[in-house]
Amino acid sequence: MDDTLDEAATRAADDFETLFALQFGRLARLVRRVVSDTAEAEDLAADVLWKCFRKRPEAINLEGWLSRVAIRAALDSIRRKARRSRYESFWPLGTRVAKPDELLERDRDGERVRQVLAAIKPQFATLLVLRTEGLDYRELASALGVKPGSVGTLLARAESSFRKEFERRHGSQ
Amino acid sequence: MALNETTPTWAHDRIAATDAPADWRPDAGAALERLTARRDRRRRRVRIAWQAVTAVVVVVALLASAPSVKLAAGRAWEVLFARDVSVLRVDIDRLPAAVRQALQANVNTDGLDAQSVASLDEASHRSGFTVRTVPSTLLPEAPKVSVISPLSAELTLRVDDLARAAQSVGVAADVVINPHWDGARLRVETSPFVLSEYGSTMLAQGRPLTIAMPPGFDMPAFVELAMRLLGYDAAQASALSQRVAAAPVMFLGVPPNAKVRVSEVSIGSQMGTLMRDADEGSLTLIWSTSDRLYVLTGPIDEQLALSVASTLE
Repeated sequence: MDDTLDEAATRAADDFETLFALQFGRLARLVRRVVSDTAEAEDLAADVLWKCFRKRPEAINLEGWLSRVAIRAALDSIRRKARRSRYESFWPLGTRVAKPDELLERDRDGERVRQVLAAIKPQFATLLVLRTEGLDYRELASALGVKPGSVGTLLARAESSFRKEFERRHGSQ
Repeated sequence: MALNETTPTWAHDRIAATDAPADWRPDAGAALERLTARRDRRRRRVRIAWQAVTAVVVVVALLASAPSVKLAAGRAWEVLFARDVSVLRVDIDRLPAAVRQALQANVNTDGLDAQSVASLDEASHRSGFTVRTVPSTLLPEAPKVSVISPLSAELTLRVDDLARAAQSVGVAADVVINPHWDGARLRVETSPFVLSEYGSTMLAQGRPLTIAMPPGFDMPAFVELAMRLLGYDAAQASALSQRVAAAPVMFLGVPPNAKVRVSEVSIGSQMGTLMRDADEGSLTLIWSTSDRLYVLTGPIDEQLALSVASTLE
């Protein structure tokens, strides 16, 4: 995430198609880390870009803002689904039958990770996902709106929270 | 322990399992098309909400009262409820500036963003009334439910503005502008509205609109004036004024060139207003019961619309 790209993104915020062309692929891939369905990842990324275009956030780091909002939107989405599954489980007749690809997905490590990301603090989940995307400390600080000096400590807490929740759900591996 | 830039992490190794498939390329074109479709659906919802609030931009001018249904609401206001609907052919955009200024209400649209809710119970809780649903034998899809917050519009009358408006449309010599109207505030409010989307067909429901005005305000006379300002001739304005004097009416503004056919239909003991939009191939039915105002809209035929309405009486 270099400054030149971000400057371009900031200028593009005035032109939705340009903003979309510049940012859509990156955001969709980022969101895909949190939601397993690729079409849903694309839709969430598109929604976030539209929101950005409409609201014109006064963020210094527009790419960081987009990343943070996109991950939050994805986390909200899987939380909504988890809530819905819980409601449905109370009413057997209304239970939705999982599609074959969902059944496969449930067995994969990725799904376990997503459940854990949705369960921990959104700031921690956002930090961990962006770190996995390769952002350095300066970029993480900018994206999350925190001081660069606090990123290491925040990451350590996020790591700990993630591991604790993962092991609580899935045992130590 | 703070991590440094190069610390390999346990979480990082796990999260790497969420890497996208190597052959996946996000489809920007398809995503943009779906986004456009979602925005269009949202625009339809907003348009319906505007209709439900009435053509209030053309203002409270379009609302009338009947003494029998006025309720005392303290010293400052009289309140009445609008259940009947009438459609006016009005092109708001083409009205003279002086008319728009005289009849321009201050509309609070903060609530227009529909909020999705997880269940009908939540919708009932948020709206304050028990949400009614359409039997699955008529609309089989499970509804997506959302709630629009209350909306309001308020107009403060200015006699000078009304006089200028009358001059601008050449009716100054024909109309009466009561000097006591100066400063009078007229206010229209909606309850929360619950939107239930059954695929592309949507049912909106809320309580009847509330109209508040100063005690003793001569709404029929004001409606007659407003109709003249909106371009109706003296006979039409008088007829509309008399009609609305019999019962509070919610007016919907439809542009004169819109290919919309409007008719009145019977729904049990009530009358409803049916609008067929030839451009969009859709149908809108508006009707009310003693405690509810309904708007049903979508690509459905008249028979299905009436069947739905009859189950919600």
